Amino acid sequence: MGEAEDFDALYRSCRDRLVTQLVALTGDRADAFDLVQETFVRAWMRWEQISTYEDPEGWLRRVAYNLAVGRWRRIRREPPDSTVRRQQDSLPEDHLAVVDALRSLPLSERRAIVLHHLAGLSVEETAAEMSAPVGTVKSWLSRGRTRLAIELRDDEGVTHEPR
Amino acid sequence: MSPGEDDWLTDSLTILTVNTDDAHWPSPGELRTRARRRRLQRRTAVGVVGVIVVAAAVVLPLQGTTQTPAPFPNRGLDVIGHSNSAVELAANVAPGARTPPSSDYAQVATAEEGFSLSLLRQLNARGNKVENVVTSPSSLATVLAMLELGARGSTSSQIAAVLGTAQLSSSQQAAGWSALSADEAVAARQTGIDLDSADSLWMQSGLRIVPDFMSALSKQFVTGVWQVNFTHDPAAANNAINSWVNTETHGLITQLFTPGAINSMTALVLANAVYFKGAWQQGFDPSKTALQYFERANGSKVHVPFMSATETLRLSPYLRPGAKPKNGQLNATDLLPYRAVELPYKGDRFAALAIMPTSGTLAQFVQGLTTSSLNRLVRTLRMSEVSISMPRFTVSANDNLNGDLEAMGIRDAFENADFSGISPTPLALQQVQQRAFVEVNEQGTVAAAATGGAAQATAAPPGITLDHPFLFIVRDTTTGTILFDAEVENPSSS
Repeated sequence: MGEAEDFDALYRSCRDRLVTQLVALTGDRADAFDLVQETFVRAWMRWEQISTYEDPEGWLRRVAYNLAVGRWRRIRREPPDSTVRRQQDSLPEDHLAVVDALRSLPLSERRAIVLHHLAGLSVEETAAEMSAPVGTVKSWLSRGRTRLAIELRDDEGVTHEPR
Repeated sequence: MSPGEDDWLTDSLTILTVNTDDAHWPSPGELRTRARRRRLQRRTAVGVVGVIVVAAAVVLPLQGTTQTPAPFPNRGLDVIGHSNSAVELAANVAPGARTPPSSDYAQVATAEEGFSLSLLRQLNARGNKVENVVTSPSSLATVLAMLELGARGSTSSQIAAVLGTAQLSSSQQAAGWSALSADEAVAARQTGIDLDSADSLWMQSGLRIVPDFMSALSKQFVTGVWQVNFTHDPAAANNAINSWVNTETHGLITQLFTPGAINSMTALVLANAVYFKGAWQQGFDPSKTALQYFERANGSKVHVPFMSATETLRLSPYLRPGAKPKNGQLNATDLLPYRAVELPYKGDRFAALAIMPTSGTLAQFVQGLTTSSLNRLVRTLRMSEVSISMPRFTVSANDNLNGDLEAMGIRDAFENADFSGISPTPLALQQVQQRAFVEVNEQGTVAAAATGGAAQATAAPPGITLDHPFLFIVRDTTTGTILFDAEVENPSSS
């Protein structure tokens, strides 16, 4: 396969997974689509290098996360009137409950949950991706699960007992 | 632990799963085209690209006072990310309300203009300059204002005096800077200008930071806070700072501190990065760009590309206000000693002001430039159709500003410092570093009529050719604040 074909194949196979993870992280579907597109634009700009990586999806995931955090920082810098949350009219109600529950978590816990439970990384892989000790990641996951159990129970009347 | 142990959570999250088809996405070919365009834009930036990074590093005066590094000793901070060995923290406070323009805002804007010109005079006074000078006074002022928040006694009053804000309290000043930068950011966004300014604080892991300082930084400067280990791995800390600078300046500045500039004595670095990219209101036609001679201050000539156009611009008159020919003759004293033209960026809020002295040197002109003389000059500009020709240029600098700031009056911060508002650990300012890059380009032709040095009182259409050393200032035309200024002595060197 040529360079462009490799890139196209990666794009088609990863974009939905990435957008799902970014919706969970940012709570904004439109932002998530934008971020994934921007991530692939950057990937093509460095394709000569990235195409040699053993795990290009990992690179995409990290870049997308950094872009999301960068956007979050810029929003924090802007005056309050421009930080109003974008209307989530494209997300159904039950999605919103999960998104809101995730938004109640600190970013580190949210990211750990997304990497472990959505991206399917092991705890060790999650720790490596977040450059954090395994014990710290375990504690983020534990606290995150406890908080989500409470939030989702409150929202949906469903009881989840954290372990 | 595996996701399987928490199936309920994995199940809950799967509701977010996105399944799309090609119709939801741009084609991969379109993304590749965007990437190619982006690369091209980086090579041929429109109008002006200005990037400035300033950092002030604070040092622990005694090695023995270095505390044992501990991960997160400061309360009220959340970990929000990691970058190699650096840990990013955010103060657990909401950004301060960005108040509408107030008297603090106006006073800070006026002070910034005064500080900008005195900094320019200071940089100019370094010696017999034949090289380019470029700086971002607003960027440097922001770092100094951040430092002043934690300075006490004469350390604080000297910084305030140099910034021209002695009449304001630290918090009033911080609020003023905050409102000013927010206002400019909104104006830039509304007018299609890229103006990104970012501040960050890099601190030694284990260093105790006064909570009020951290809160004030987060509220007023929305400062990201990074913990690094200067003591045990200064090279890694340096890399982390350079990586941040690279990101915030969109890849145009990749290194702020050279290897070794940050050492194991460093305790704290405050950094500010500004990125400006604006397109001219009326562009130059690139096909009309042609090589032309530019005469430097030492009389030597360089052959450089000149952009040319005929546009409606604000231009300085030839004659001083009130000057009248006597017996049909003009005296040299009737002529203004400079030619000046204002080139607006799209949206009209920001503009470049180019001033070329026609009598005396650029250095002499800059030494006499004050807030009032600059404002007077701007007031004399008149809209007219102008044939303009100016060099395409890139200027860059990597300056240590310690000596300049000391010469301007900030002395105690370096040797007899009181930064007890930052940390109970005694600290002193180690270095203030500014790295700058300004690129001006764009298309044009129609060889200009008049040369800059020659005054032609009735020439029509009026023309201006910037073919001698000139001052190039990027200003906010509403507040007068100066984002970047450059003394272009040699447009062929960067």
